[in-house]
Amino acid sequence: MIMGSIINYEFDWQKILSGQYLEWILQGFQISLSLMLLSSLIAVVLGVLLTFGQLSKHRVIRFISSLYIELCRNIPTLIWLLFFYYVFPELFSEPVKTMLNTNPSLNYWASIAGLSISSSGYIGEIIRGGISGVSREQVSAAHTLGHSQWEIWKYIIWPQAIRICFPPLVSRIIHNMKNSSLALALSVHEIVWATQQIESITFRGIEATIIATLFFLSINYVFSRLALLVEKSFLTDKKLINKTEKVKDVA
Amino acid sequence: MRKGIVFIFCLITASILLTGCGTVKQESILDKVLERGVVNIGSGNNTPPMNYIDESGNWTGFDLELSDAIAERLGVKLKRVVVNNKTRISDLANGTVDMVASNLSHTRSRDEQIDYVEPAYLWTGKIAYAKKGKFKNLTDLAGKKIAVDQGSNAYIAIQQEIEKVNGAKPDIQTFQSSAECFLALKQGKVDAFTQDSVIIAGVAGKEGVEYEPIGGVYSPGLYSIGVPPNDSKWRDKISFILQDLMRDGTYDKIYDKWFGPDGKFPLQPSAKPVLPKEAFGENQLYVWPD
Repeated sequence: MIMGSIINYEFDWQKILSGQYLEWILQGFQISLSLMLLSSLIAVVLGVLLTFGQLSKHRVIRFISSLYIELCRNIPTLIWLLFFYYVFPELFSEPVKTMLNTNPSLNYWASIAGLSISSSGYIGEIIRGGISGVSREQVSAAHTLGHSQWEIWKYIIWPQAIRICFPPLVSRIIHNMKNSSLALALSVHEIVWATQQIESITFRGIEATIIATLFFLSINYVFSRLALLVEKSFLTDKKLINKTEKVKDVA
Repeated sequence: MRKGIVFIFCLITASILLTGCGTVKQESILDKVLERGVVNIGSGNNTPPMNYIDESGNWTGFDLELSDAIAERLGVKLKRVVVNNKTRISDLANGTVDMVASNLSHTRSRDEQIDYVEPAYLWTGKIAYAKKGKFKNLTDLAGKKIAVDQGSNAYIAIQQEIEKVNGAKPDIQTFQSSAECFLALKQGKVDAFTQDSVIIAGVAGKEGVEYEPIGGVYSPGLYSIGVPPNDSKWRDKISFILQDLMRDGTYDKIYDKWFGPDGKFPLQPSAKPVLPKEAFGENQLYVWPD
């Protein structure tokens, strides 16, 4: 039965790999990639800022940071996207509102904003988790030995924190790259939009879906291999030992 | 590395299986439906007045009441399946549903994939809708942003219509529902919204006073019931039932409730499938003789 249905589907790659359909697919690759990279980058930057906010001495900053993190984590990404597209421009008064609403790239930037905000909360928590994973004794020992705050961060906290938070950070970024397909709800012509559009016109949904699947699979596979490479070459124990030796030298 | 390739292969196979594929029909759907005692009818739920969820949370609309009547004539229970503009064709091709009544216009490209019941039960047409006084003719929309419900054939129809008159291509923005299209129009994100006139009337509702159709109807939207391909026994059965409903006045009753002069969404001119007045007289419905 199942085998039968595979054989009975006549794959027609020619149709969707030509003309306007191919154009949509290629454009989809580009837009998806730019959504993935830009939103991940912004999310990491925001996440680092959030971490500092969480660790701040000021109670107000700490409060704002944790409020922000809760909002990021507890609201679905799609809602963030829809918020930035439909609601955000309405918060402003007339000239700005119309300017935002009539801007042809509003959907793209609303997607970037939604994706990065949604991920930044997680990333902030991941980094904070890495930092709090570094034992307090080491920090107070370094204090006792007369190291400056900067040296403690540079030689003791960061090297270990990065090692702890790197793998979850990579997973979260991959998650964010997959989330980029949500932008289709805002008519951003990314790859899943292209496949849906092709399906709704040609009804060759399977071919189009296979292309999108392979795209996500290969992009995320390459990214996670690269991340593993980075982890192995820069964040292994060997390097860490070197760093701790440096600390000894400084001491 | 080889393991990776095998893994990718497995994933592709799985995705093919999950997407579902057309199957060979050995027996007619009619026999299967009667045997099960249940007919699966696909309808959408976000296109008022054809199919939508009303204020009190009921799934209702013209398509749903028509399918109720058809299921009743078949003498089987009705199981509703939610479809949307993008899934309704593949659901039919896969056999997920036995028929689709979901503001489905009869188009050639769709007819290559599925079959249609005769006649089209609602004769409507596409209009482009914009702020009053902003545009005069459809060609004014060349180069402008136009909202389209993704999966609607308006995507192709409006471009052809505008290009025909040698205008520049419009910039089509696709949304996931007609309500989102209208919201985008209200907020000024797009210059116009194009869809079948009956859907626009339903979506715009009372807010419609600020908007108007630009030019006239530009592409016929002949709403028809879709059925899986290559099953003429089933297709005939539903066609006969639909025509029986038209003959005995059940269709008129449903039509008047929704689109009649005192209906929920009065339609002017009428969208009833009637034969030309000159040849057949007033209100002669499109029904095959015995």
